Amino acid sequence: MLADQIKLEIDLKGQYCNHWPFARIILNDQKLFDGEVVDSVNLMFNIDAQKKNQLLIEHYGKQFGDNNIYDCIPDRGEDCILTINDIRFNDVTVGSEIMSKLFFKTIWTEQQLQTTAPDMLLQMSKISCHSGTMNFNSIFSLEFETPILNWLTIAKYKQPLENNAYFSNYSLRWHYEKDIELINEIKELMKQ
Amino acid sequence: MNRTAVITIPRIEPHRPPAGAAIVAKICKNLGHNVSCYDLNIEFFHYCKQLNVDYHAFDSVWDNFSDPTDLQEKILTEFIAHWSGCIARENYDRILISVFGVSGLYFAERFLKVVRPLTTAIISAGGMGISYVGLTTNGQGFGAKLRNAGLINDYITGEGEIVLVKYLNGEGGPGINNETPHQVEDLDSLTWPDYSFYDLDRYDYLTNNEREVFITGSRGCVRKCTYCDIERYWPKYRYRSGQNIADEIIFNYENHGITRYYFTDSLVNGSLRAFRDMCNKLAAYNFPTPIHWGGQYIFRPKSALDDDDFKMTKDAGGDLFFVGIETGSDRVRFDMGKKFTNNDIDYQLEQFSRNRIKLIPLMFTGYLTETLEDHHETMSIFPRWQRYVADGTIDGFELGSNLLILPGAPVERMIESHGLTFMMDTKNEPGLSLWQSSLNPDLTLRERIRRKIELHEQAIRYAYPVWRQEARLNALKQLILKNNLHDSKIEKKFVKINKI
Repeated sequence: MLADQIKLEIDLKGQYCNHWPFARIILNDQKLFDGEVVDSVNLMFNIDAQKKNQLLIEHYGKQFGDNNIYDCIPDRGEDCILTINDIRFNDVTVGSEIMSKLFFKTIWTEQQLQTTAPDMLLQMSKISCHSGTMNFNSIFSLEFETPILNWLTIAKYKQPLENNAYFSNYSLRWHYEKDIELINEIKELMKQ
Repeated sequence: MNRTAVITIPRIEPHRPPAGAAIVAKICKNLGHNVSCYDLNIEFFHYCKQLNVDYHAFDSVWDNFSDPTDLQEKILTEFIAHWSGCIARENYDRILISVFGVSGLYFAERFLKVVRPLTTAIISAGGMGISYVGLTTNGQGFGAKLRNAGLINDYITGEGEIVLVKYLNGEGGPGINNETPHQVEDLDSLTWPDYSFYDLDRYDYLTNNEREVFITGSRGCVRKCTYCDIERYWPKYRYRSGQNIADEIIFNYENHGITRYYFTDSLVNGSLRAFRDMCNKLAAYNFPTPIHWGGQYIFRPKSALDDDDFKMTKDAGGDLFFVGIETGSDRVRFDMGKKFTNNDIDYQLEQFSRNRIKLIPLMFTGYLTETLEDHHETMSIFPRWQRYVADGTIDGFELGSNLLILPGAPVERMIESHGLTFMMDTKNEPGLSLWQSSLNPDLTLRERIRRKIELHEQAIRYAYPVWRQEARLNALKQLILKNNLHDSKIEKKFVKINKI
């Protein structure tokens, strides 16, 4: 199958504490970036996207007491944090519509597993991506499809159907089923 | 003191209180009447809800697509009997009934047949529906039809604000029991709608129960698009000053807590000067809760605009506009009388996107002069502007019905020059959409249907937010079946006429 050439842009922001946060970006098992995120960076890649794809952004290397090193100093308000400010495909953002539906999966360190209460471990294992902030070592996973603009549109805006209005029923948008049925009926009729 | 009832009837949208009736009520009040308002449309909406019946399913009844089902008939009969009785028991001196448009004719006639014998009140009717002339009125205006049937005493056509005062003072003249609509010159001098007559909590607001009302900044249209019949109703374009419109919005915000406004104008930015002035005033006013507004909007040549126009619109609360793009062919768009190009659209889409203003393009296919090449240009806009769908700028996409040759529209005056002939429809009358042009013989009825379907499929292919299409496609299917357009073996009879 032919791949779609897509411009992928990722805006990351690093917050320093002992070191800048480390990030790894992987697309379909292929590493696109691995390194420190110093201040704000705009990473741009021209990617060959398949029908189905997976984008992973990992925040790693933050220490929570391993070797007695903490990469956060609450008293001084310092913390090593990676923030995903934006992800854009062909200049169109995934937006809060997609980010707010996703969760960061926390990768616990040995030290955290030993020192954190079980209910906290459970609660913090899955953190909303809404703000884009990765306080812990964690992985962000975005599964997307091509054509990319179709996927972005449907993923961002399609809502379940509601019977709330006739003229202005916005929930009907992207529910093409009835349209397609009628189009096919008309095409069939006009074949005669 | 006159006791007067002002009545609004189905179907109008249940999403906002009725502006026309709110003006009529205020005028009557200013003349010293003791006024009560009945919005039977919103009452019917709640009645359906209470009975767990689909209010929107009545649309095919209001639009004359089908007769009511047995259940709908029972509900309608009971509803009309109930409200006719309620209103008759109040012994009003006058009953003023507002027939908003064609979709009000069915209810108006049924309601009047019941209420007329129950009351001695002077019953008068007004609204756009009163001027409707068509098959269901046997060639006469709907108002005249009602009057001749003894269902109303009088009717008012055209803009009622000034005529209504004359009428209530016992005068006659243009707009009173005749088809010579009166046009108001100075819109700034007109009474604003008074929404205090309505329970604003009963409406089915579209945005999280945020109160929304209509507002009118202009009447008529600054453009003369060839397919549009607006000049039949409003021959002259008139507009309010930006200050006057902003004042009404601020008044409704301060007095009724209304934060959403929908402009009824043909074009909210028809007068760029008034539009800019209004935006400046609204942007400068300190609304503790932000307001939002929208309406129909015209794209202009890029040279007529400034980047600041878009920022100012957004700062003033403008956030959703319906824009008649109509076609992807610059040539056809110019033929229609619209003076902007696809490059102008590119610029305005980009500005809308940057300022987070949304739009719903209005499109149709099969204009008189459209060639296959023009159609292909229209097909090409879907990939061209898809990024504005994906970023949320294009918020909806309206694929209209094929071109109708409407009475009073400039296209009616082009019948001869374009060699138009009309196929006789099932009622043995020339069908408004069943035309063929000798100047563009390839654009047959079948080809127009094919292009419409192809355009719709293209919209779906590129994930455009098409909506309201089920009814349109059903109507197209019915048109095909009723007129045997699918059967090329059946000979179609075309006739030459000079006027619709």
